[in-house]
Amino acid sequence: MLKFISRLMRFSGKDAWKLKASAAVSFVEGLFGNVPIYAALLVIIRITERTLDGAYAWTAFLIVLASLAVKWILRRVFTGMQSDAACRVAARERLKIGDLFKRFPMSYFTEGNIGEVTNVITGDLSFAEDYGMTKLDDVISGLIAIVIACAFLLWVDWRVAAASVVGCALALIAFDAMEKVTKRQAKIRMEQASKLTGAVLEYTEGISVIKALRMSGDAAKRMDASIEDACLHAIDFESSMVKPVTRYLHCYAFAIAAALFLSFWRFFNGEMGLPVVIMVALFIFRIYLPAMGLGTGASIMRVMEAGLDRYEKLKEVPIIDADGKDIPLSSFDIAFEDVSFSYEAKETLKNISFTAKEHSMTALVGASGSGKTTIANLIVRFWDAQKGAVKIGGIDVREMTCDSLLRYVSMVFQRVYLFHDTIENNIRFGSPDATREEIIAAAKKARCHDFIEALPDGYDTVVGEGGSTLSGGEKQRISIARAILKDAPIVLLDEATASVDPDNEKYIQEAINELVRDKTLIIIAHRLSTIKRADQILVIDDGRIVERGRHDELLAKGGQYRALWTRRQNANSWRIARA
Amino acid sequence: MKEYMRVLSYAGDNRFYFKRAVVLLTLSVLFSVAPFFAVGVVLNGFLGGAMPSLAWLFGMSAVIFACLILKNWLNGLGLDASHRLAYHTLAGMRRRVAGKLLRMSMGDIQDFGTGAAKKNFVENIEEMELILAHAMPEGFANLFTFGIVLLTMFAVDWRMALAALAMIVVGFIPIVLMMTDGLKRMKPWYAANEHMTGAIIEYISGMEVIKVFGRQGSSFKKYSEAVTDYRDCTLDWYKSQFNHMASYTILLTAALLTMLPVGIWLYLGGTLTLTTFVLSLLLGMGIGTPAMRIINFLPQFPQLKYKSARIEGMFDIPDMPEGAQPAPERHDVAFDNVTFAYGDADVVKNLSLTMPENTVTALVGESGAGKSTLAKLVMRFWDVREGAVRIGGADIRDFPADALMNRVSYVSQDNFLFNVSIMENIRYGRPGATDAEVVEMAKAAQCHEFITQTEDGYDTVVGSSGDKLSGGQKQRICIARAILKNAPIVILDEATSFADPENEDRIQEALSRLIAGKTVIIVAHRLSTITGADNIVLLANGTLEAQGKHEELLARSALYKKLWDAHRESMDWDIGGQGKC
Repeated sequence: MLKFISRLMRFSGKDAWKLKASAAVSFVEGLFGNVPIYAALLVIIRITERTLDGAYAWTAFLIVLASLAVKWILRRVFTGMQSDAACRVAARERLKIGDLFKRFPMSYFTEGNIGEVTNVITGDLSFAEDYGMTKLDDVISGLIAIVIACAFLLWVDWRVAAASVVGCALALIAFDAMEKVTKRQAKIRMEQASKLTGAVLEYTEGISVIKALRMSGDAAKRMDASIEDACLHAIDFESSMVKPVTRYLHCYAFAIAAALFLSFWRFFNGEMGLPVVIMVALFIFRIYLPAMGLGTGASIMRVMEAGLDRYEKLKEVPIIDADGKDIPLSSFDIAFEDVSFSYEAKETLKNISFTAKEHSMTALVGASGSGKTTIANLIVRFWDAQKGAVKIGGIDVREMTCDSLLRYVSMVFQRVYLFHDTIENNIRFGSPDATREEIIAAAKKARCHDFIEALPDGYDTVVGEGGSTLSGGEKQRISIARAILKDAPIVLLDEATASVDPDNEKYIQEAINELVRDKTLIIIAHRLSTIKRADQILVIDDGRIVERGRHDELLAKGGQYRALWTRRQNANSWRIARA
Repeated sequence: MKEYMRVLSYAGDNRFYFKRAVVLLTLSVLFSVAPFFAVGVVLNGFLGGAMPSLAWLFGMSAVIFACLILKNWLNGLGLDASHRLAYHTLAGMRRRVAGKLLRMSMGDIQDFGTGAAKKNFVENIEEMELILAHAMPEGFANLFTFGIVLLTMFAVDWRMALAALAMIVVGFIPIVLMMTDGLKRMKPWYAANEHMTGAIIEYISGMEVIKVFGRQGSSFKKYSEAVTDYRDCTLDWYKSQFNHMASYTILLTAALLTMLPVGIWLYLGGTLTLTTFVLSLLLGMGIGTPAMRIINFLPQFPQLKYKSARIEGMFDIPDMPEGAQPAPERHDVAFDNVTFAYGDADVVKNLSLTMPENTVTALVGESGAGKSTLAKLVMRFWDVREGAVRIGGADIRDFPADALMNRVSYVSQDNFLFNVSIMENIRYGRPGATDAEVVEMAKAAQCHEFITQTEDGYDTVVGSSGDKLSGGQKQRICIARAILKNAPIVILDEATSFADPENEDRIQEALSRLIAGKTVIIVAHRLSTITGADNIVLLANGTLEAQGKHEELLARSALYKKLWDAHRESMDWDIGGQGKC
């Protein structure tokens, strides 16, 4: 628990002092909370001494009122500071990690990671913001309450205090045991939750297949079993928590009962006055309340800790271009010099060497998984080569920052992302200072001017989240307009393979022709007919270049390229027909 | 309250846990009050004539200890019961969602979105846990406790009870102020929150594009503005609430402010004993906590209403009706004056079409012409608005959905595999099939070769949604499944597109095998693949523009000629070929 507090303090950075100060103020506020009871004690002393008069009613009222006023101010101060700190720390961390994202390797932002990262920043950080920081106050006042209780009772009578110390010591031991159970159970709980999510994903995504294959009964049974399983495990988890929490609370029951009995005994022996006994009675039921709250706080702390763990893991993602420099390039030929690359222990590229001259077109051809996409990814430092070097204009790309490198490269890939903004701004993304005329010119080249004009708001049309109001072909063309506007000297193109209607496909092809004019072009080709004019074709097989040359040369050679070409031709001439 | 009862109905037979939880938790609170009376009794003993014995004092202390132990124990049992109630309720809701998905039409599921369905299943339902397990049972327990303690106080001394109650009443004033003010600020706060979440998602999802275009600076600015806006908005809201929050927290627990003076006057007036005074004080100090909990409890009702409405919105979508008539013997497909609207806009208008048994019909047209919709109407993704789709002369709505599914295989680009072995995935096509039959179909679908190359062969578990296999491989497994299913009608919805261009010829062979001897409906983008179809149906704006064989249409229809030319051009396209554009 103390570890948790110190971790939270570290996490809060320059706002930690606010949390510390608010804990201190909260402590004082807690002390003032006892003043009304002390006033009651004064009244009772006067009753037993038979010196109480009517005027004292006003005195008591004023004492309590004054203490409440002080309490109000203190409370206002510390809750204010605490929430202020929580808010600022969360915002600061969001900014910090957002800044860091810019330097993460491109390869990090794959589909799977995107969801997870978003969850950490919106979910986990918000949990820390909304609950964690305010719980911190509870944790601290809980711990402090134990100290106050023992100190107060020591002032009253050391024997009563001793009972309290024993009770609290037992409580701390019980708390430790409770934390162990939470830790173990939380892990099981998490595994169960992800199991259920997996089952649900399969069920919802596969629902039409389930129906088509008449598996309704079977699938429903399996889904029901998963739901039941998750339900029983969750109940198990909560049940397993009940016992240690109850045991923890029992310790305070003992402390309370023991303190009362000792007070009664001392009074019985004539060693303690009645007002003191009454005061102990008034205090003892309230004094442990904050400490008891620690029982339920423990699981919240656990959730928050898990969230912080996930968050801090994000910060450990290695930054790819930490030692890169901002190097201006003047020529744009691309050279692979004996490049090898392994991904997760599998060697995907083996000793690749080739040169793509400036303004030339190089096509990468090969079966899926042969390594052609990896070659393109190494040029833009999605990853770095482990052996050999990738050079542009004679400069090793690993010496450059990704920023300065990407200034010279346009990429057209299958996955198109448009921002929730106007079409104009989406295109302008390619070049921030572009005028409206330049944007329209780029849109015309990308064959999207006509359909944009036909939209009710034209270029001011806001595209939906991820660009969902446009068809796939239209989004593709807007992304090409963006690239045309950027006008980078190097173009990496993954030949579109998505299924679009013939009318759309023709426009996309025209747009691409505009984009690649006079550029150094690297194309990942799937339909060999597109690359007949390529200056060089590299046939990749199992991470190696097995053939290279122009289309006609390779066809004449009668090797792998020819075999691929024949297969493609057959596929292209395939017609659906009766077998 | 009505909502709460409705939500609880999902717990089914486990609803009794609600009563159990409330009873146990209320009992627990009673046992937390009981020690006050024990203390009162002891004080009475001290103030009476004779000093009680030490044994009696020990006994009374033991009673207090026992009460507190019982309190903790009952509290634990009560929470256990309330969690059982909560999780059984959640499971009930999940079962309901699962069942609903099976009864909804596929079109409705598609419109609702699998993402939304998944969210409903997991997150939205999970979010109710806190309300169901804690807020509700504990809320009720606190409500009862508050009532019980207050009544006890009135029984002990009604004047002291009134003094305590006065502070609770005053404490409600800042609560009312806070709530009216809070409602006003809630909307902009939620807006800022949503804005920030949107900005975060966009920043992360768009990071690839942001980096490629070197726009980190401006994108980060947008992101950081959303983050700081949210921070400032939250702080603003907090600031407006702090005064009220501090006020009610203090007022609700300030019973002594009134109880002390009132107690003094009553004592001096001779109508209040010291024991009753102390007992009233103990009870009065204990009344604030449940009052505070009730405050936190009340806003849970609108929350519950909001959250359950979000989940139950899905239940309002009507089930797909199923007929009970026997399924037809023949397998020709006919569209009989079909009109279908998607929202308000008609997608298919008054369309009639026949597809005789054992023929290939191709649906072609420009984007948005309605060809895919037409194919999906045969699968009852949606039901037609007017007219009927018939198989073997029978309206497909008149016989059971399972019987329809028995007769139709549907292959699209969306190749879904289950997270079981490849063998089982194929076998799902016909559950009784032997291993040998499965292997035979895999060979027919051109997947035997790559399956045997995987580490565990046919026993390879596919991984969640088939991540271990390429798109083309998954497609071929799905085709093998369809071949095994051997349904007399086959629909290919864009199945011939380039899912895996390098292996397209294999997919094509697999498809040829699948459609042999079937009634085939094919939605095609690449017109060259369907030139051999028995009938090509050209659609434009949801109506039948023309139909006939390839050569006939080329001669007769300008639109078909235009599509054909565009297709030819795109097939011949080569990069850098300036002349073509």
